[in-house]
Amino acid sequence: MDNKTNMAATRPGRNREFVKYIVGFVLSLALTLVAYQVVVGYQHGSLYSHDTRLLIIAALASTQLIVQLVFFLNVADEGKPRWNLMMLMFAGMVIFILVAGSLWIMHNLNYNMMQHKSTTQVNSYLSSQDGL
Amino acid sequence: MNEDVLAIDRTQPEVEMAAQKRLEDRTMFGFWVYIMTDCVLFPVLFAVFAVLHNNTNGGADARQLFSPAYALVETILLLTSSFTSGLALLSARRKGATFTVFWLLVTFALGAAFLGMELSEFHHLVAEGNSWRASGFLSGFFTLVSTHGLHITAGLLWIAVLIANLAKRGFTPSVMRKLGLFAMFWHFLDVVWIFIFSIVYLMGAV
Amino acid sequence: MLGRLTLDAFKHPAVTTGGVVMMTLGLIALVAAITYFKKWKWLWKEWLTSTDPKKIGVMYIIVAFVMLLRGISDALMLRSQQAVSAGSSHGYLSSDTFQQVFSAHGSIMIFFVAMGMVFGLLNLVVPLQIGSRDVAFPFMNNASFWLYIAGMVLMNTSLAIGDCSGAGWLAYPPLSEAQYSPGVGVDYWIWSLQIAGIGSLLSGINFIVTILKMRAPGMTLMKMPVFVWSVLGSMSLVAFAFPILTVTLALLFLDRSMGMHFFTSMAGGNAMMYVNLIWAWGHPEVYILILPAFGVFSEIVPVFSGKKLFGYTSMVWAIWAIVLLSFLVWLHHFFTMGAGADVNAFFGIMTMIIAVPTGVKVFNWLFTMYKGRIRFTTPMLWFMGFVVTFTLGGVAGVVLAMPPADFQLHNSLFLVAHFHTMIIGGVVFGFFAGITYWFPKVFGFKLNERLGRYAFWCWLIGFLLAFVPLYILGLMGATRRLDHYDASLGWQQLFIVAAVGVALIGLGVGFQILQFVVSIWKRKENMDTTGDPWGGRTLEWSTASPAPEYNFAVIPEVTTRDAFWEMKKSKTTETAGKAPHYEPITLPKNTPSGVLIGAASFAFGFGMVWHMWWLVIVALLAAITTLIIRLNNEDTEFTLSPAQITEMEASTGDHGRLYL
Repeated sequence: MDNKTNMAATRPGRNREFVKYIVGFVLSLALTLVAYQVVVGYQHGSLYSHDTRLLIIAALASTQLIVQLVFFLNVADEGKPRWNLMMLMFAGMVIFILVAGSLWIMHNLNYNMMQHKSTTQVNSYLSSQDGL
Repeated sequence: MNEDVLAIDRTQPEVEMAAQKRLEDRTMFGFWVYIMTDCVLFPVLFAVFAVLHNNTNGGADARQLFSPAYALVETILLLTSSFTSGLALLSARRKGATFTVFWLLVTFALGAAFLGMELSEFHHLVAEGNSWRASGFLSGFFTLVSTHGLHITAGLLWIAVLIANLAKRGFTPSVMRKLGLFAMFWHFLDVVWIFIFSIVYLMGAV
Repeated sequence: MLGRLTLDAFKHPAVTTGGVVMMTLGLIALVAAITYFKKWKWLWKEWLTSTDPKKIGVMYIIVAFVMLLRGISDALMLRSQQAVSAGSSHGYLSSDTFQQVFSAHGSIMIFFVAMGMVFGLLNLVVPLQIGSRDVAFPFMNNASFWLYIAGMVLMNTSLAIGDCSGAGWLAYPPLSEAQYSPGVGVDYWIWSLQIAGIGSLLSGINFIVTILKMRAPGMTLMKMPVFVWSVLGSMSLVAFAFPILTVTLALLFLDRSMGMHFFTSMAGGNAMMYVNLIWAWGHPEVYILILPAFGVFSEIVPVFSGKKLFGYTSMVWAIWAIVLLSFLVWLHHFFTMGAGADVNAFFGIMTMIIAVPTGVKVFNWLFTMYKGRIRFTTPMLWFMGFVVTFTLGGVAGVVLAMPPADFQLHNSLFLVAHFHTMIIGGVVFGFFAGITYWFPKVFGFKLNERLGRYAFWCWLIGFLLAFVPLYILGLMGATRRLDHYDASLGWQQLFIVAAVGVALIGLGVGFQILQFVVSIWKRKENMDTTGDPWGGRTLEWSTASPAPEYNFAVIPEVTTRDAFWEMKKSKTTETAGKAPHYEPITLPKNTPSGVLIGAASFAFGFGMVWHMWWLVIVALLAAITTLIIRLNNEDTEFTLSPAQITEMEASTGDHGRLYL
């Protein structure tokens, strides 16, 4: 949210805010529909591989995140000192470390410790060891 | 900096208004920090979902269970409600009481419809034996999506309280402040949903 | 109606019953005393519903200290058991009870003693040091305290009604899952921590906003006291790490109560994920505890060396380096879980790097002392004790940071000795130093120095006796959490020494209690009449002792670091004879809503534990309703007129009052 007060009754540029919401809404809608199309409109043997499509979806989601941050949550409008933005960056950094770190760690652990067995194999192995 | 906690004569209107402005600044920032903590909470649930998404325990996986089309409708509902919550805030800034309540009600209706669709999807999954007990994958799915749904529910309750407040008090600084906080909250919930839609439903179907 | 609660919940083994009886008697004595002295109304009005952070801080610290007594009793039981339980003797604690004792010991010490001391000290000091009257969100501050209390009461209730968790202070699955811990112990643990954790998270937000938005005019960030910087760092960690705990505890509860499969051994759960997540929170948590302690030393060392702090800028950078790095090391808690060499190597290196900013801080303190005029007051003694012990423990930490070494030492007593050294030598010594240092500001008189010294020496020597043997035992191969061991191992003598050490620490605690009693009794001889009993450098010393409700009658304007020191030097503090001009002061009113929310939270937790779903719903509705009513209450402040302020300023010479 911007730090401009909500209390101002009339301000020049209030139409600007309305336009911002419209633009944000339209862009978000477009990005959503494109992402949907990438999944649903996929034909076997078409150009995009599995991984590429995942990447495109991720990129579209990240873009929509920025669109909504800028147009709905007004992060770019903040005056100095930009505490909101700094908090957001800090959060972004923590999120990256946590998610990337956890995925890396868990991938390693699963690989080393689960010995490529399927869940049913693991289940039946554990059941057979029960009571030991 | 901090002139608000200086001893100042708040019986004078312009002094009072400046104090309210600083209070609003603090409160909006504090709520933003809370949103940031929620921004860490949800990724943890996403990470858990990601780690467990292949643990289907011999049951159905994402491609079989989830409908991107259904989720698309939910997405559009929520996105529109995020838009209308912004319109409600704009109406409030122009002190248009009728429009503010109107847009808040539209936001509520869209949010409730979203929630209804989500509950229906859950009911369908459970009825077919794909409940949260069935596998790690489904535990992850239900928990992630339900956490978001609980936040939405809280938001709906908040709209009701806001409308009641507005009716009772009009556009006081306090009411304006709370509208601003609500809009921030509701926008953020749509942001989280973008990722649920993308990661759970879209990537699940790829 | 009563869920799964039956009369069986009240049946306990003898040792546990003893504990319950003592706790209950203590509670009865407290209630009786308050009733006898007719202090209920005073307690409610002056303390329990207060939004004054100074009062909230005092309450936190009192509760933390009481919990310290519980935690040390647990420690005494553990050490005495291990001292005798060798060979044919099996001590006096059953295995079951032993597990519950060490689980309770750890949980209580971290969540209710250490966190209580942190938030207590922050409440007391931060607003004063930044020249503010209050925190950013006074009601939320009050509510945070009552959530902490709700969690604390729930944890202690588990002793009396039902079972304590025996799954360790972090409750790893699969042991903590319903299959292997079917009782209520782990559920109590989950909800106690969940509720207290929400309180902590809210406080984290509160103090971040307070520090960033409510500093006195002229106090830029680089003019803040280093204590405030360390709090900002610590609270940033709270805000961004506690959500991880919230999720992880919730997932464990969902596994236990709703048959989910996050961490179960079957049906697609992954227990290792729990360990990963809980330590992703757990590592930042220990930095949350230590950063404020470092901050305390940054205040104390300059004052008692008569010199300004060496290397202010590097101190600030070190804090933020620690904050960042503390998010990058968490895997070092489970090197042995099997992640592989490259993962272990990365986290091992990051762990060694994080020792560097800490070292920078220690050297800066030592350089501050160099060529200073040192006064060995009790706070300074605690600092010196810290230097010795924390360095020892820190070096042990670097040893553990190497994965190959850790494969030998993981979960041995070497590890136990390391983290106790960090927490006791670092956090506890730091908080004792801080409490002694700031006590006069809060209560208007100093603590007795002689008894403080006795307490310090008992703690220091007791600590060394209790934990150096554990380092040795760990290197000899002794595992943690053993309630019995083979006599032929030759460990018993060291365990006996360790038990003596804990007893000596107990004596130290006794001296501290005595110190409080004697200091209060003889307070008129130790009064702080100037507001600046130590020759302080920062703003809190510029106001009277005890500080008035509004902290500063006139908010100071700041131009430099060590603002008060500069004011003293240039003699710009308020001089007598000049009638100061006061403007009206607006302060937050008292509120019962925090108490109600705390009570509802306790009921909620109790209901969740015992599956009393009606209670869960009622409590939730009560909490939400209270919150909505409170948040829509527009009459939450009161104003002091200039005349009232003049009167209050004149009466602040009345130091014998002690709030009574």
